[in-house]
Amino acid sequence: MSSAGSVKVRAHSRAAAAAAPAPAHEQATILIVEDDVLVRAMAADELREQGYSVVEAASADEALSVLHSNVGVDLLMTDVRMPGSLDGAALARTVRAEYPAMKVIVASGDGPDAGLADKFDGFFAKPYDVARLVRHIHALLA
Amino acid sequence: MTSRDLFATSTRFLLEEDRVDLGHGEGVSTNATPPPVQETVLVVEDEVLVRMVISDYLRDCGYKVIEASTADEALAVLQHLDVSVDIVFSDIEMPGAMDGFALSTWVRRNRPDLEVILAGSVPRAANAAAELCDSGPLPKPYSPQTVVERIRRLMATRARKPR
Repeated sequence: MSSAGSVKVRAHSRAAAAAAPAPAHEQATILIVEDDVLVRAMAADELREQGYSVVEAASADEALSVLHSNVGVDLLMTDVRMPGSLDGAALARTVRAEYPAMKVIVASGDGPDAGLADKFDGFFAKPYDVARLVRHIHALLA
Repeated sequence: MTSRDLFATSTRFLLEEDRVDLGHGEGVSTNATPPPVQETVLVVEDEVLVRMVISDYLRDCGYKVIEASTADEALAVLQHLDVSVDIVFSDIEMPGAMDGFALSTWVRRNRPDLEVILAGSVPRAANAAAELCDSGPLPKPYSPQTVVERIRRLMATRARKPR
């Protein structure tokens, strides 16, 4: 690492931001729940560039803290496999029951899961294509 | 805020071309003023509501913010070659193997180019964020007292919710 300063190259592709249409509801709030800080930061960054307000949670417990404080959330996107008192699938089920108007997307590195895809508003196998994720979120929140 | 609350390993630049000599032998440049470079703040805070409000405040005054919930997450960010960080803004008491002081020590040893700000309470974090905003790219959006009040309101709402 250079002593003159940190490396400035960004990891994610700007093409993802250019590929998706502008969101119909630019002030919508998305809650991203992901225990991998770099994946979470990249996804959050991309969605902010698309005009969304993004709240980041590192665990299902943090996500529930946010939701229970009455922060208005329009869409929850959660990883499935996470440490803590409940995993992402349990969080998604809880949110579906307590906040039925909220859109819910789940993501997993364990491969496609038809059960999860049917129960919620989207399923993305990790590593997911960010441009495709953005388009799906635009469509859900339009 | 006491001096114990604010540890800086280096002085920040907002404009990369207008440097002053900090004793590192970098000299002085007199180039025409380029557009300001957006600085990145890594906010390290285990209480999600505090992290959220402080991060939003810093974004509103023009900083790019990366959020870490623990010192371990902060290290993962700082050790990633493709991620740019200029300032580490950290809570002091955090769960895990490292607290804010240990993180600050790591940064001083391994990333001496970064500025470190430690703030051990909500009011101190709000004031430290306001100080950062004073030299941020955009005007400070609201007072640090508003930041404190927002955090307290959110935490009170959460506390009333049956679990």
